[in-house]
Amino acid sequence: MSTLTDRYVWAVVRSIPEQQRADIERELRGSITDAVEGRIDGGSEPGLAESDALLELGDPDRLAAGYAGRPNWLIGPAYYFAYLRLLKVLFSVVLPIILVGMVFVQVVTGHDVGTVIGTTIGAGIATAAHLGFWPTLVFALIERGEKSRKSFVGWTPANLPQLPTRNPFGIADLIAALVLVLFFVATAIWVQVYPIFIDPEGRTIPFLLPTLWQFWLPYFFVLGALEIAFNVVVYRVGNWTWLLVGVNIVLNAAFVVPVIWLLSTAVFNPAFFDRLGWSPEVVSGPFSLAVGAMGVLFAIIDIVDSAVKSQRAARGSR
Amino acid sequence: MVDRETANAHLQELRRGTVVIACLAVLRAPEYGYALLETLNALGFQVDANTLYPLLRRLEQQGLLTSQWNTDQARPRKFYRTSADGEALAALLIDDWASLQASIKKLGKGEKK
Repeated sequence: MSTLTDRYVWAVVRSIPEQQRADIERELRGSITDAVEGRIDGGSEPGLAESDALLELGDPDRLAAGYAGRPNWLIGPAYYFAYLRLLKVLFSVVLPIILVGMVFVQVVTGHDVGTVIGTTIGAGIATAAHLGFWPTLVFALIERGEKSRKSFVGWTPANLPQLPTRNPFGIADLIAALVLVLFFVATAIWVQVYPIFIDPEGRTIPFLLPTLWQFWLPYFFVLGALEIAFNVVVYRVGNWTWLLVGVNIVLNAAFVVPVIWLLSTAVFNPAFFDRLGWSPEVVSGPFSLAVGAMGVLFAIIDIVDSAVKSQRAARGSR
Repeated sequence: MVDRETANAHLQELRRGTVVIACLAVLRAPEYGYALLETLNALGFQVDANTLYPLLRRLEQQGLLTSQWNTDQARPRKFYRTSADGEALAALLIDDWASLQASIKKLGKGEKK
């Protein structure tokens, strides 16, 4: 006969390692029978005594976790903060970069606005789900794997943030800046050499005017290298000072001013946009305006951000 | 007045380690799971079956208890007994408990250290 006890014992032992299973099953079955008999001796009805005894033992999964020494949480206190820090970086730095990249590639390959928005939302949700799921899975497995759980989180007093600042320029800011610069440089090279469109002779039609290689593209690459070096300096200093804000303004100007000048003269390859089906008026008009406005906006946000943080730092140190 | 839930949470926290002391002390004479549960509850140590049974296994794995199946009776039962290591740990825990109790008494009298 298949009693409630049989089903309960099975529910407990099925998730317990094979070598302990028989022993635990035998003991647990005995303990339940003892408890049922104890209740019947105390005047309980036999049918009720069994279900009451099982009710007292509680959720079989919880009992099984107790026997197997498994944690009854997904990610425990040992890894929780490392997990949280990773998720913050993934969602605040990596996800936006991926989304911007998606939009950019689709715009460049000539999809219309509706398609771009639609696929970006869809792919964005899928990407966010992946970014959330995989770290959670890995951390949950680590939680269940190693018995010796130390040194992984690796916190030492040296990791403490700088005192005077409420928003210090940390490693996350440095990585974000590095990724951003490398992303721009890689994109600039990619749109010039990747055969998005090919002319009748089989040559790649670049997105920007090929003549830009003579001076402006190398100029921007050098500027990118300077930007990285500058961010390393800010990271080493650990904070924004007025001097650093000044240098930041100069660097942003060294980027934005040439961009606007180039947009107002010639920067995009007419052959590329001809294949895209965009008229020269659209390219030199609204499109150039939009690109320029975005560049100016980025620069202003970056400068204001550094200025605000330096002011906070100055206030905090008093 | 402290609400019941808060009080219970703190009481549970305070009693958590006492179950181990009680097990190690009671099991100087061999006993099986359900009988131990009854004994502990009769002694005033509130412990649930689903806490006690896994705990016995853990203490056995740590070498603090030994176990033996007794098949003489109608139903085979696993008897646990405190090992030499378990005895040593029990002494250590009971000493610590006593010194804590002394400290708490001082608190009660409002003495300064």
